[in-house]
Amino acid sequence: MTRHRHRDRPAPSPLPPRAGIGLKPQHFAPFLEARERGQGPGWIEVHPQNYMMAGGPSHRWLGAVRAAVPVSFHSVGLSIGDPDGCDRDELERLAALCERYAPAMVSDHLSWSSLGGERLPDLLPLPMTAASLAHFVTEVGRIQDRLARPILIENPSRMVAFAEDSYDEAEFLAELVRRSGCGLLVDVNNILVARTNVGIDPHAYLDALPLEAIGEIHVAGHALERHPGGALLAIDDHGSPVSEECWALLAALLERCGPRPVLVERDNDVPAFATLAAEAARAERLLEGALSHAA
Amino acid sequence: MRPDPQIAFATVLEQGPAALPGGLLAGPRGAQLRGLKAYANTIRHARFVALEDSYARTRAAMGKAAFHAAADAFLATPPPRRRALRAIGAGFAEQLARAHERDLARAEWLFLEAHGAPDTPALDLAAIAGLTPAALLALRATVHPALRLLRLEEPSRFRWEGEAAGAARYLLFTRPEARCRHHFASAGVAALLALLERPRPMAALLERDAAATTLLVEAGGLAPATDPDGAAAAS
Repeated sequence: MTRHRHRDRPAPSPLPPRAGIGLKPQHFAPFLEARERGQGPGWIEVHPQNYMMAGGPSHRWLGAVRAAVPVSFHSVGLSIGDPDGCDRDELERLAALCERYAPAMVSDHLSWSSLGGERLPDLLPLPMTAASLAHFVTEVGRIQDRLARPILIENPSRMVAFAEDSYDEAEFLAELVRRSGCGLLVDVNNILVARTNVGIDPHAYLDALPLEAIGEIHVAGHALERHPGGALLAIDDHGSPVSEECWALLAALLERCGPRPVLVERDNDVPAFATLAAEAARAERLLEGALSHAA
Repeated sequence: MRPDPQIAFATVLEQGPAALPGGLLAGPRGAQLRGLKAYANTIRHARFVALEDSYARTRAAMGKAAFHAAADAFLATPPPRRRALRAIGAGFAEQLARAHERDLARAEWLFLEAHGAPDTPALDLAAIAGLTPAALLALRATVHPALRLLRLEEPSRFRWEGEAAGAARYLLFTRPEARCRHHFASAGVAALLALLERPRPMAALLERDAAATTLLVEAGGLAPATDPDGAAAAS
């Protein structure tokens, strides 16, 4: 079997270098109405786990959306960092969905969500070590082989770091890209969360990323908990508007890497479609600026 | 990957701060514990919300406090913790104390199953109307993949979308098109569905129970049986 390791070329992004939104069921109808008027985001993203049933209305909606715009599958269920390997059942279900919808892009996370057969439904941090890297290279290779396409791996929104970490996060991701041939989904908000919680320097982080491998960018908001003594904990709750700080870091990233698909991500307290579309329009303006700069 | 740090990490999520060994995480212990608590809360919340989403009507009927207690007890057992969130609620009804709550929870789960079942054309009344009597009797039917049948424990207390079960002992869900439909049904329908464990000609179904057969066809609960080549099969 051919391993999908594209050592000499970065993972391309068939998504347009435009703004997209994470599409929720309550926005199917307004999204399609906007598309009929020639408006609305240029692409959308869904969690494939929400479509892992055999049939029904959700598939009808997704089929209609897929016919209108490119779709990106942002998986939250492969648990790539499980020491026993990624979730094979979930991978087969994802492969079936890819066969059905031919998404423009597929991504998952630098994290784990299961251990010893128990599911831990969160994106948990892993030690940034040579052993973890080797594990991820193997598992990402397995996934890319099964899906017959390169995938994107998203940087984590860490709330803690392991004492035995021997790589910094951007270094780890760069090495993963080099050795597995995957691309990167850079979540700008996650960088800010990790800045608050584990002390990474956002701009140094951007400088250390393999920019050519970035196939998609996410922006979102996060919650800040203030604890006694002034300590802060940033929580990636996907439940608030994109922060000004996040917009500024997005601009800094686009300045470095040029225009890439940018997604406005909101999973909790999801606002009206028009509100999300307005945030996507702001991302679109930043992308237009990056495009003119690139030209 | 060396699993040890992840095992230690998961143990703290499960057992709390006392289980946090020195040297596992970087930074001040207070910051470590804040982060770990947030991860543990997210996991607990995700499981609970998945259960709540699956059983919204049961939650409304039981009340928030009683539902929370039942959910906590259920989520403390291993089976739901080994399943993906979309399947976490399987079996929740079985550990509820009251019959009418079990009926409602089972109905909600079967509704979800019907909702996500494979899309297959149902045996269509209009198509049947166009058949000659001989062709209709020879037509082989099978159970539509979205059909779900529930035997109610306490029908006198059961309602679905405002409609009372009354004397009907069975609740039937079908989804011949996009929307799920419900029907209250008799024991005759249940018996006919038992007969349909394998495809049967319509003649056999009509002979067994014409009223139940008619209800199933009208509800979109039957599908034309296909031969291995995918063509509609006659007996």
